[in-house]
Amino acid sequence: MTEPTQYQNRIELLQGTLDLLILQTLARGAQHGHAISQAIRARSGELLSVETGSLYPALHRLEKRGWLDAEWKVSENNQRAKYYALTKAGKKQLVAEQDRWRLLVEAVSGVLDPA
Amino acid sequence: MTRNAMRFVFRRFFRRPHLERELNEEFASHIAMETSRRIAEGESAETARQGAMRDFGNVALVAEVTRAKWGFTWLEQALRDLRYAARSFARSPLFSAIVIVTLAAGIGSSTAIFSLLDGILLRALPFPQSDRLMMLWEVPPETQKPNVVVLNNFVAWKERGHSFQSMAAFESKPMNLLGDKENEQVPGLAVTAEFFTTLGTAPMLGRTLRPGEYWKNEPREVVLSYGAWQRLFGGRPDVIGKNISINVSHHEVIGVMPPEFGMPNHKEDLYVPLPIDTNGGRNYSVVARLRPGVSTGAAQAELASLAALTAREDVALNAGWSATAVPLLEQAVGSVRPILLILFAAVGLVLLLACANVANLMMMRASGRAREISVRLALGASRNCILRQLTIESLLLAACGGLLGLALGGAGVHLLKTSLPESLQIPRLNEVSLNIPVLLYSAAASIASALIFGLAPALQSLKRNVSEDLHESTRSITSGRKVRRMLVVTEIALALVLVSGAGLMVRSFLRLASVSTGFHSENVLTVRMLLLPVTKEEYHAEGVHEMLDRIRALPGVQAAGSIGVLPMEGTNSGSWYYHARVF
Repeated sequence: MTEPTQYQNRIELLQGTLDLLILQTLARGAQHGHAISQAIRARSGELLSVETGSLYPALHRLEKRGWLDAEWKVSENNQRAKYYALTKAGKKQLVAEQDRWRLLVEAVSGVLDPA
Repeated sequence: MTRNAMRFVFRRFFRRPHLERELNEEFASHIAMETSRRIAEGESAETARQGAMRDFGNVALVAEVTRAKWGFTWLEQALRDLRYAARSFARSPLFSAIVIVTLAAGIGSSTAIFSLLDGILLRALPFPQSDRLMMLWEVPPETQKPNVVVLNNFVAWKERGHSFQSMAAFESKPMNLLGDKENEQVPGLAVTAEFFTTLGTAPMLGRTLRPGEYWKNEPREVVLSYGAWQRLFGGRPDVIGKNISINVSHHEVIGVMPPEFGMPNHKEDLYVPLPIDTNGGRNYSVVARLRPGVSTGAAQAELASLAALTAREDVALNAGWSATAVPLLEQAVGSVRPILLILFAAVGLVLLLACANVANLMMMRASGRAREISVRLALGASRNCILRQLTIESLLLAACGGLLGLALGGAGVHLLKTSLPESLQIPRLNEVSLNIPVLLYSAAASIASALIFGLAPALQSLKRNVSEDLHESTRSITSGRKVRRMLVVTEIALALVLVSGAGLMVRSFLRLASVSTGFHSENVLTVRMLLLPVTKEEYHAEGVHEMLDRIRALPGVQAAGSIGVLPMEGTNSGSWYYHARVF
C-alpha cells in the first residue's frame, strides 16, 4: 500500500511526458501495462506514478498512432497479458520526444540559472 | 493514415465486442499481477486483492476513457440513438405510420415528376456530343415561325456555310413493306447521305449510307432500326445483304442501328436514301452538327446571312424568307419544359406541405416528451446529445418515408408512362426511368425534408427550462404553441398557392379546349392510304377519285375528300390550304 508521505512527494506529470516515459520504457523490450507502470515508478525513485486512467488511454492512443504494436503473451508468472512493443515509427517517435525533452530541460534551466 | 493505424481502425470497427472483452481481460490481468506483486511483498491474499483494486481505480471509468481513444464512439452513439428511435417509434405505430405515409406521398410525387424532368429535360440525347446538334429551319415572312426547308436552300447552306461540319435533310414517310404473305405500312425516314455521320452514331451491324454524295439516282439501300430488325427479322445477324421490297422496289439491307438510336419524337423503322430533288417543295427537316469552336449564335447569324443571299438570288422561291437554327434538345423538349417545371414546383410545394404537417405532428409529440428530455438534460446529457438524437429520429422517419416514397414514385412513373395518351405527344417519355440521378434526388429530398420537419421541434425542445419542466410538465405544453401556429399559417399559405395554381391550370386547359380550330371535328373519320409510285401522276388522281366516289356512295356518308397532310398534323405544316386541281 502507498504511504501518504510518498504520495505527497510525487510529481504531477507534465502534459506529453507520459508518451515519452512509455516509449522509453518499451525501448528495452515489449512489456505489459502493469510492468510499464512499475518500471516508471521504480526508475523515477518512486517519484513518478502513472494512474491507470492515464496509462491505458495513452497505450491505446499510441497503438492507434502506429507507434506501438500489441500482442497477447503469457508472463513469467504464467499470467496472460497484453504486451506492447515499439514499432519502427515508435522508435523514431521516441528519438523525437527525447530531443524535445532535452530542449525543454535546457530552456527551463536557462530560465532558472541565467548564465 | 499509416497502414498500422488503418488496421487498428478496421479492427476497432468490426471487432467491437471482441475488443470490449479484450479490454476487460487487459484490466483483469493488470489487477491480478498487482495482487501477486503485493502477495510477494508479504500482504495477505485478501488485502492484496483489495489494494490492487483500489490502486486500479474505477474500472468502468478507466474503460470509458480508454475506449474514447478508439475513436468510434460517435458511430456507436449514433447506432444507439437509432435503436432507441426505432424502439420508440415501434411503440407508437399510428404516429409513425401517419408520418411515414405523409412523407411518402410528398417524396413519391416529387420523385415521379423529377424522373420526368431528368429523362426528358436533363439527360443528353442519345448521340455523341449531342449538344452540338442543331435543327435548321427556314422562317417564312408571314408567321416568323420555323418552317420546313426546300432542298435548294439546303444545298446552298451546305455548300456555302462554314459553321457546320455536316448537315443532312430528312423527311418522314410511311413506307409499304412487301412481305412474303402480307404487306405492311411502316414509318420510315428518307435521309440524305450524311444523316448518320451528322448524328454520329455508329451502326450496330453492317454500315450506314456512304456520306458525301448527292444522289440523283439514289442507291437502293436501307438501314433498319433495332426495333424493325427484331420485329421483322427476329434479330437475325444474317440480315445484312438481304433484299427487302419497299414501295415496289428492292432495297438491300446494309445496316442495323442500336436500340437507343432515333430522332427525338420519331419512331422510324426504316431509313432509306433521299435523292436531292431541287424541284420539290418545302417538305424537309434539316439536322446539322456545329463545327468545333463555333457557337450557336455564330451559326444562327451565318445561317441568316446565307438566307438573305438566297432570298436575293431566287426571289420567286425565297423573297422575304429567312432561316434559323435551334439546338436539337431544345427542339425536342422545348414545348414541354414550362409545364414540367410548373409540375415540379407544384410537387415541391406538396412536399413542403407534407413536411409542415409532419413538423406539426412532431411538435405535438415533443410536448409529450418534455419530461423525458428535461430528465435527460438534468442527468447531464449535453444539448448536442439531445439534438443528435432528435435529428436521428427525424432521419429515420424520413428514410422510411423516402423508401416508401420511392416505391410510390416508381409506380407513378410506370403509370405516367403507360396511361398518358399518345395524343399528348410528350417527347422522350420512353427514356424516363428510375435511375441513379432519380435515386439520388429522392435520397436528397428525404434528407432535406428530415431537416425541415425536424428542425423546429428539435430547437424547441432545447429551449426548455429544465427545472420548470420537472416540476410541472403541464406548462411546457404551451411553449410550442407559437411555433405550431406559424406552421399552420405556412400550411395554409402553401395550400393556397397550390389550389390557386391548380385552378389557373384548369382554367387554361378549358380555354385551350374551347379555342376554335376552324373546322368541326365531330363525326369526321380519317383514313390513311399510301399511294405506290406510278408512271403517270394521273393514275394516282384516278385512283383517289374512284375511291372517293365509292365512299360517297356509302350509306351514312355526307361528304368525303382527300388531302396530303391532315390539318394540325405533320412537321410545322402550313396554315392555309389551296384547292388542288384534280386531273
